[in-house]
Amino acid sequence: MWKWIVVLALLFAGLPAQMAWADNEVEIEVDIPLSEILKQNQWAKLDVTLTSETQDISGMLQLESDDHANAKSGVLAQAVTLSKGQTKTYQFTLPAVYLMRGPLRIQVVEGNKVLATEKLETVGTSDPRTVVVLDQNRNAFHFMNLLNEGVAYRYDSSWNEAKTVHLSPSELPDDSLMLRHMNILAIGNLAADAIRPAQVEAVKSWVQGGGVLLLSTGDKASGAAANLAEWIQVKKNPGATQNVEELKFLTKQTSSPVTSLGVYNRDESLFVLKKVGRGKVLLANYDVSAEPLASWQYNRDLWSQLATKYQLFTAGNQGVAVNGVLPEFSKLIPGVNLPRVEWLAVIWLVYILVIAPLLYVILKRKDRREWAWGIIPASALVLMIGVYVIGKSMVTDGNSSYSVSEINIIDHKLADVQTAASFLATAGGEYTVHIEKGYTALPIALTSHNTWLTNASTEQNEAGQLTFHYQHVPYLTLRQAIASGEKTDIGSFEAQLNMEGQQVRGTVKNHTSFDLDELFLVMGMQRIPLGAIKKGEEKQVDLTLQPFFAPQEMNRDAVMDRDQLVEISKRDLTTFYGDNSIRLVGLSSQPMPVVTMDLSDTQAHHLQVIKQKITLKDTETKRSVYPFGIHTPYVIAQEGEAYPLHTGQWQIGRGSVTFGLAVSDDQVEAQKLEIPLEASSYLLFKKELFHASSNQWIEVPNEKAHIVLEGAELKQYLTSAGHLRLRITNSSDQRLNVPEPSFRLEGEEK
Amino acid sequence: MKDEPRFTDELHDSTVSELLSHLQHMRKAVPVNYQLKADLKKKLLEQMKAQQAQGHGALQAVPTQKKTRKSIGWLAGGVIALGLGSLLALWNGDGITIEDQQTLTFDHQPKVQQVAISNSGERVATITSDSRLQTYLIEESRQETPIRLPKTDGTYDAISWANNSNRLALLDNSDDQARLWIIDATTSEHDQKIGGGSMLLHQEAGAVINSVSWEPNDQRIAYSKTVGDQDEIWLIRLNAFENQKVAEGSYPAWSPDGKQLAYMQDDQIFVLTLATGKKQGIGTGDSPSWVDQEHLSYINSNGELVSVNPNQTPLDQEVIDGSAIAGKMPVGANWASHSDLMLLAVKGETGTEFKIAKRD
Repeated sequence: MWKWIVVLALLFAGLPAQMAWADNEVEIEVDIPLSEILKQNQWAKLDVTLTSETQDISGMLQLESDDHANAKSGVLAQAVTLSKGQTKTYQFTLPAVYLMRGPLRIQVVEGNKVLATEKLETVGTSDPRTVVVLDQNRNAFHFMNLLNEGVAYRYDSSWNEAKTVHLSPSELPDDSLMLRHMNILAIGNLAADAIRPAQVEAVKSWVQGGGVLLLSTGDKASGAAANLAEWIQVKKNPGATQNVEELKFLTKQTSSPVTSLGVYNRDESLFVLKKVGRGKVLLANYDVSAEPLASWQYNRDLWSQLATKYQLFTAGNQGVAVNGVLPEFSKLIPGVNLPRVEWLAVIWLVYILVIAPLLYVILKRKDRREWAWGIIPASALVLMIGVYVIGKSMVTDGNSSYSVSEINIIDHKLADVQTAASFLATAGGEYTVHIEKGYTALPIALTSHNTWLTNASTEQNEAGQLTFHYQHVPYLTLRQAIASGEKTDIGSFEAQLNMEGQQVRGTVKNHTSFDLDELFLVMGMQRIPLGAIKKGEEKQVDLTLQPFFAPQEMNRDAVMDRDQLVEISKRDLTTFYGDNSIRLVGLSSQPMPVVTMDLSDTQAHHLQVIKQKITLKDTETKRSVYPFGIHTPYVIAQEGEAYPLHTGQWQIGRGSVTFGLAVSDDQVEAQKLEIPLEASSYLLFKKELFHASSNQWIEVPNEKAHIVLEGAELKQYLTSAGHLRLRITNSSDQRLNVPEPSFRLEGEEK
Repeated sequence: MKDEPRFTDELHDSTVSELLSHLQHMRKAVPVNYQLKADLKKKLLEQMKAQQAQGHGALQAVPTQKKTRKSIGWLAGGVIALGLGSLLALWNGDGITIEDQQTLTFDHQPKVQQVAISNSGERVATITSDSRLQTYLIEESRQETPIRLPKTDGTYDAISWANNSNRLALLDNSDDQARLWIIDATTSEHDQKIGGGSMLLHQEAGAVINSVSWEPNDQRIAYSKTVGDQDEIWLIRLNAFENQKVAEGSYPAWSPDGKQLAYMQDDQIFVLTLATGKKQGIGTGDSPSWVDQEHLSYINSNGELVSVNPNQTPLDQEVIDGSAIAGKMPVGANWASHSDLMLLAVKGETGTEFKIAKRD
């Protein structure tokens, strides 16, 4: 028996040795740019500056979880080389939420020796609405910091608590992905050469992707603000203007604080809004930091109204670092059937409960019990090999990867791309993944609820192209990565769609660079298939819309097979609720290399989900139409026994719910609004509309419950912020369920 | 010894020599005895060994024989069981058999349409005489907390469980209004606060809604209403403002795949394919109800509960075994689509009796 113990001891001797610790031989300094305004769903940078005190160093810089209880955390590493006395800065790019989830630590490691360790402070998770100011005057835009306390319904105004942060020009990122941490970038008095061309390009790209730029100019403006004004084609034509009524009108004052103002362009109004891609630029034609307006007591109200009117704090649908659906979807690699954990457990249970005892009994009968020390482990090994050999062929034919990308088309020349990819090397081991140049990317591990760091090392060449190295990957084990970037050669859809009643007719042309296997028209709660369409092809559309008021329920608790999971994931990627948009969404399996697995005989699979906002026009009025279910209401107040149920319904028992709807916004000036409250579900409730002009609630009788408001009458029901209010009340004790009201809107595009 | 006369030395010497001679003689005899003893012992040992060997073999022979008999017994039993099972399976064929499991007792006398079994087979719901929704857990044979229904000046005439949730559709008819309600009968502790809510899905004046059936994915409800003397079947969506007439008839029953509707018209049973509008006649009877995708049951003109495969040509009507319980004729059947249980209504002596039966 002792012989077997010796054999086992020798086997275990092969385990890796513990790390040896050394005194801090390397000084580590950590900086997180924009740490006070980070938004958890965007990319963040971690700058690590190393100074070698005593020796040359060639090792690895590691980022990992400092929580020893978190056994699932991996180690992200990159190679470092330092000469004695040298200082170098290395950078990690990762989702900001990782810095907020914490705790993390940085280690410099050489072989088995840890040369230095630095624990990172966990970044706060406040996720503020942020106004970043670039101005020589540290007090510029100070009024943006103030709360709007005077509005009765805070949801009517988008002016809520905001954080104003002054940056020096050198601190402004030159990466548009980092600028996404800002809600508004305000540029005032700043010399033209204070910001570099790369920073200017990043700002422009950021605005196109959905950012909001605020420019303060005036008749003496020059420098950065003036250059950017040229970009949005507002020419310099300085002078004085007496057209200052807007100040009075927006603040509801009886007089303006000034009768004349020096402006950047005499022919323009005081405030000029230009849409650029998905974002916008609001140019203040005067110098907001100049007196007397800088200290005008109604400055706060003025900018409150401007923020509301121009929806300055909407994010513009900027992309996020990690789209929750993509990593999960990419795990469903076509042609790969990963063994269910239950099967593996059954195989091992059969071995432990049946085969191993049987072997022992046989050996006992043969009076060879001592052989069990060798035969039973050997048989376990044989079983393992058998499961591997047989199982491998059942799971997959070979190495595979699946890259799923969400492409949001901004315009014909620009698209925002997010990608998640999964890799499966049947034999495991080591392999490399290349990232397309220009993309920000990270290897990740997908846990049950989140993504997190995984064991991999990263490398960036001089051209800025990233490579990931995965090592010690067990066989038949997935590894993943995410990436974000922009593409300029995707193209776009051209849609000419008109609506007549519930009929939608027109044409859709595919000018993208993809052949689409499926194309959908997505409007609120409806996803209407249009069929396949090749690039360059035009398709006729003729379909009937259903007046949905609630999304279709799906039973996600049921155990699903792979095909069902794929269908659910596709549906999640191709439907939208609550962003007031109509979209064309196409699916393509055409390759688009963003993340490429470098391993022989790899079957690479791709799925592109291409999305673009479009508009529907009413056949008669030529106005933009938003059918039922696109504009969704928000809740202003609930009183009594009122509870939200599954999506789209409320339960009210002697209580009420007040809904608000943003009817006019920065995209559309509403002309006609339809609210069908004649459906049976609303009959037992008291329905009231708020008449803003008279500041009264007006009851809607059941016989006139199909509400249609148009033109001037509609305006009477809208608040100054362009919102409608609707109250539904149940006066009885009976608990009654009611669907949220649904709206159909027609309007003029702004 | 002291009292014995003292022998002369000559006499003493002859006695001793005789004794010694006798001892020698005895000694000589002893080796023979020892030898004999050894021989005997050896023989004894050999005999013992032989006996042991024989006995072991005898012992071994017994377990082996026992094992063999046992194996034969198991094998025979297995063969018989297999044979019986095959016989049963073959004998059953496509026929449906049900077996009475439980009789439901209510505090009131509900109508056939006022009692329904959930599709999981776990619960039965009924409408009480004081307009409450009462649910029962079948396996535990106990009542749950009743749910108060919306006040009405009519009566709650029929109920139907949704397929994938704890909702029910209820029909409420008064002199001037017919209403279709959706009631949330959730029982989870988490949802208790908001369970029991009612939504008025459809209200109509001048009509009587008499039957309702949920689409398998619970997106739509098929209901039949009588307007004047005309029966109509309509489909209504639960999440959109859409109402659509599909046929003339009553008592719609949605097939498990959601593609067909069985219904009754002028005492005839029909199956309607929704996509094509094709209508197929099945037979004379009423109360159609889908057993599974291949079998539709209904009460035929003889009062028997029969099943038929609508996809088979010619249609072959088979009486469902066990449906006439203790001679009582069935008057209604409600099959739990996700379970092997069904609710059977039979005509009893004092009124309608409701039974839970299990399908074989």
